Amino acid sequence: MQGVGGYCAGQLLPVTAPITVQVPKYFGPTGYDPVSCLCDSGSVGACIEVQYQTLDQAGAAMQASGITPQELVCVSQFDPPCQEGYSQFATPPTTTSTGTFVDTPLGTCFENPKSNVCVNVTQQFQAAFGGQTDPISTLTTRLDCAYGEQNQVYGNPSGFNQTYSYGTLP
Amino acid sequence: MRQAWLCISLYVCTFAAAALGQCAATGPRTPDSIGDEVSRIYNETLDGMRHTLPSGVVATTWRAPSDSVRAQIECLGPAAVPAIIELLQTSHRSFGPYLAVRMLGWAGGPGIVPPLAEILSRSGDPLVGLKIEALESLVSAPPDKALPIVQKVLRTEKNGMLLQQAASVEARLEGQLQDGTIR
Repeated sequence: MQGVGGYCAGQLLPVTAPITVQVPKYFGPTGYDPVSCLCDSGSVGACIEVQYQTLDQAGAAMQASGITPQELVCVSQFDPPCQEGYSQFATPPTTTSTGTFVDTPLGTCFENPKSNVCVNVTQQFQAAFGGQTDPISTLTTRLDCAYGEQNQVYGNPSGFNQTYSYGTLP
Repeated sequence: MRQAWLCISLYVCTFAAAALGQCAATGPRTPDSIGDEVSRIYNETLDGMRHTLPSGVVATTWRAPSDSVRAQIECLGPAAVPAIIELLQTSHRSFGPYLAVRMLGWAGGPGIVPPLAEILSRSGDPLVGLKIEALESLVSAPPDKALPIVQKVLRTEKNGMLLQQAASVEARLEGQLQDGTIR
């Protein structure tokens, strides 16, 4: 007598554990350092580099190389504010074997500023991996000033949202 | 069957033409024309980051160059290196050194080693960001020429981030050496 999927009626069906596929979902910041913007002479700026760990949909670290982080940067005072599309930005361009990467430089140079002038910057992210592109929930808002910078990383699971400040803010 | 082959041929030709078109924009491949093309790409990329604020102050915010910028330099290859080195040494634009170092990595070849080694030999913590980029660009150099530079960084550098980056680059270069995958 034919049962389900070729198994006989009354025969126990094999039970398999559900497989969870890890998908890149967040970029968790793990640290930062001030770096030089290398502004031209007469310009002033404050820059940092931020280190990230790729996290999956459950907020667990993804120990996976080959993920290409991409960003869309907007500066609200620029016209137009945003780039045309996402670009790969990370160093290295794809994640290391432990799923990490660095974002550098982060900041703005101001030509002959009379005061501690600032611009508002946002970063949105996505991740290209295995022929598909996944949206990343992480967002950053930055206040880039001539003499300091604040970088707020949010949209992550608790423990992975950070605010980094460097230099003098107005 | 014949239709299938026609489709495949058209598909291949379209992509080949697109790829050639990116490099064909340089015209005849003389050092001067390549230099002009590199200079144009460099300046247009930095111009795209530079805006005048409503207050009148001019601001330049680093934004990662688009994939097409990278593709254009990759297309020019090692022939673009002398012009990029000249920009690295003579241009004084904001974020210019970051862009030039990345461009060296996209161009590749043995000619990128001396300028990147020179950057890595400079002292001073403010250069950490540029040195991270210089190490990354060395991945595009022949591993037998790049490895001694990276290993010198591993012996002499004290900055933790740079040591981490150098170790990552060393592993990739050694992998290339074993695989014979030299660009």
